[in-house]
Parts: sequence; structure tokens; C-alpha cells
Amino acid sequence: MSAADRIYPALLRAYPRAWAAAHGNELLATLAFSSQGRVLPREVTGLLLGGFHQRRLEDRSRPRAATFDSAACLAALLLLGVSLMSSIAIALDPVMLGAGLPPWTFPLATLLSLSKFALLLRGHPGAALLLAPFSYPLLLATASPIILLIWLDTPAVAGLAWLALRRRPAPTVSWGWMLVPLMLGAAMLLPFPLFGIAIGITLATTLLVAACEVRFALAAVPVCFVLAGYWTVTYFTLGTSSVSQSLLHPAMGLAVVGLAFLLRSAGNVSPRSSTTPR
Amino acid sequence: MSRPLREPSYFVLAALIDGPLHGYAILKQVLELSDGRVRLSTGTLYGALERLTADGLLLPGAEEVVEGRPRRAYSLTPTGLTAVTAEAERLEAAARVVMARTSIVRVSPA
Repeated sequence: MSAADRIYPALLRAYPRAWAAAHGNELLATLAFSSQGRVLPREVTGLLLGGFHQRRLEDRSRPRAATFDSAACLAALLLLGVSLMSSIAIALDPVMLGAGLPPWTFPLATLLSLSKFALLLRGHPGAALLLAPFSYPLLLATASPIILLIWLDTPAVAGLAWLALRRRPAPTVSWGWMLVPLMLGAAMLLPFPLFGIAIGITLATTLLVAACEVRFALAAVPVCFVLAGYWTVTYFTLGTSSVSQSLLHPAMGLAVVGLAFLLRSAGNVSPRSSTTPR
Repeated sequence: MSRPLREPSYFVLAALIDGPLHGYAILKQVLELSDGRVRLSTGTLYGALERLTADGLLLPGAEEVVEGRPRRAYSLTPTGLTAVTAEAERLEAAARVVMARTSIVRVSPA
């Protein structure tokens, strides 16, 4: 298999999935003749720009209500994902474990975060919303830095309420989005220079995809705002705790959103809204 | 008054005046008609085909498989022919403005 046989089909992922299904094979057949099996920069650029252009056209044709639902779902997912990873990170921090809290506090907080995340992922924002009140007494009772997760949970709960209370079917998101908190967890372990490179790549992807799809831009604004606030408060509260060092970085907010965009642009974990006409 | 056609769209429509063509044949025809000046990438071609089809200027034929590869012929609609003709007339009129003035300059130099 030549490089062209691998690279061109991979670049088709820049296109919306439905467009690639309808026209992808025909485009690749034409490309096989025009490029004669070579990878040409002109063709690579043409596919990337063509894909983003098609995504923008598809975005414009999406109903406005579906765009808001999708943005609320993405924003809530990202915040719940960060909340989940933060609660795990805090639970594993020796400083936190030595704070004299009941041992069941952290696993229970993590289990609640995971449940809310999974329920929203599978299109059950109402069930996730019902779990939310159980988190608050738990977080407040601990009177520890974990209480800061309320900062993340409250806007996420607002997103859940929006999705649960409006009279439209909830968007469902593929299990692939579980990668978001997992990748965030992995990013926390990266040494600083690598972390900086990861942020650069995700930020560039963010700008590209947000320019194409309004719902990502709509989701990015509250998520970046809330995360910037979260990490600022964490910085002044936790100081130099070992975990807080990796949690603090304000750019992590951008990286989280960028990770989601990266996954979306990879084309295989896209949110699908049942309110969008097929 | 309709918007001027972009150059790739103009040449794609011009390539189809003589009859329906499939993707690769359109690319070759555009290159030939423009004396090698307009070399469309495949991504640009399919973007233009999609847009022109949506605007009713082109009609895609049924997909056929030739030597294991899918392809589809595109043909010009009457609206497409009108649009490309109107664009050619606009370009011709615009060219005349310049050519007439430069010929005066050439005939009577200052």
C-alpha cells in the first residue's frame, strides 16, 4: 500500500461523515488518477480546506435549537469530565488523603461524577440531573479542597437542566468521548515542555474547528471561562500541593476544549443530535 | 444581477459545455481550456461540483463503476449554460473597456 493510499483516505476525515459516505469513494477514485499515486501538497491542502468548507456548510444548515443543545451537551460533558478527573486526582493525592476525611468520601464523589458523565454521554441528562443534588452535600461536608469541584459542577448542572427540561430529545454522544477525561488525565502526567506542545496542537485545532462549527465555539466560551476561574481559585487555595501543580495550569482549560475538538475533527466520535434532520 | 462566478466554477462550467464529463476528465479539460493556468486540486473540484449542483447549474449523473473505481458524470443544466454565458459576456465587456483604452493610448502616444 503506497503512502497516497493511506494518506488521502485519512484526510477524507476532514469532511463531514455523511458527505464522505456519499462522495468519498468517487473523490478518491478521481484523486488516484490525478495524483498518480503520489502525495501532492496541493491535493493535501485541497482536501483539508474542502473538508472544513463542507463542515461549515453543514453547520449553517443545522437547526439553531440543535446547535444550542449540542453546545450545552458538549460544555456540560467537558466540565463533568474535568470534575471527574480532578476528583480522581485529589483522591490519589497523599496530601488530601492525610487530611482526616472519611475514607469513603473520595470514591463516592468520583462515582457520582462518573455516573453523571456516563448518563449525559448516553443521552440521559434528566437522570444525571437527579444525581446532582447528592454531590452537593457530599462536597460541602468534606470542607476540603474537593469543595472547589462545586465550581465545575454548577455550570455543568445548568447545562444538564437545559437539556433535561426542554421538550426535545437529548443529544447522544458516542462512548469515544470517554477519551476526553482519560486524555486529560494522561495530559496531567506529561512533563511541562510536552504539555506545552500538546496545548499548542490542541489550540490550533480548536481555532480551526471552532471556525467551522458554531456549537464548538458556543461550548468553548463557558468552558474556558469556568475552567480559568476554577484554576485561579485552586491556585490561591491549594498553593503548592503536588496534584494542584498539574491541575493549576490555566492553559489546561484550552487544552481540554482542544482535545474535544481534536476528537471531533478525527470524525469518529462526533456528537449526534436526534433533533438534526437526517 | 447575479454574483460573478469564481474562476474554478467558471472553468468547470466551461469544461462541460461540450457534454457531460466525470471528475478526472473535468480536471484535465479545465487545465487545457486555461492553457495550464488553472490546475484545480481534487478537493477544490468536488467543492465546486457540490456548490454548482446545489445552485442548480450542474446535474450529477448516476454513479457507475469502471475498472473497480466509482465515478459519476456531471452535465450542465440550462441554468448553468445561461450562467456561464452571462459570465463570459461580463468578462468580455470588462476586457473591452481596457482594450479600447489601451488601443487609443497605443495609437496616439503622449
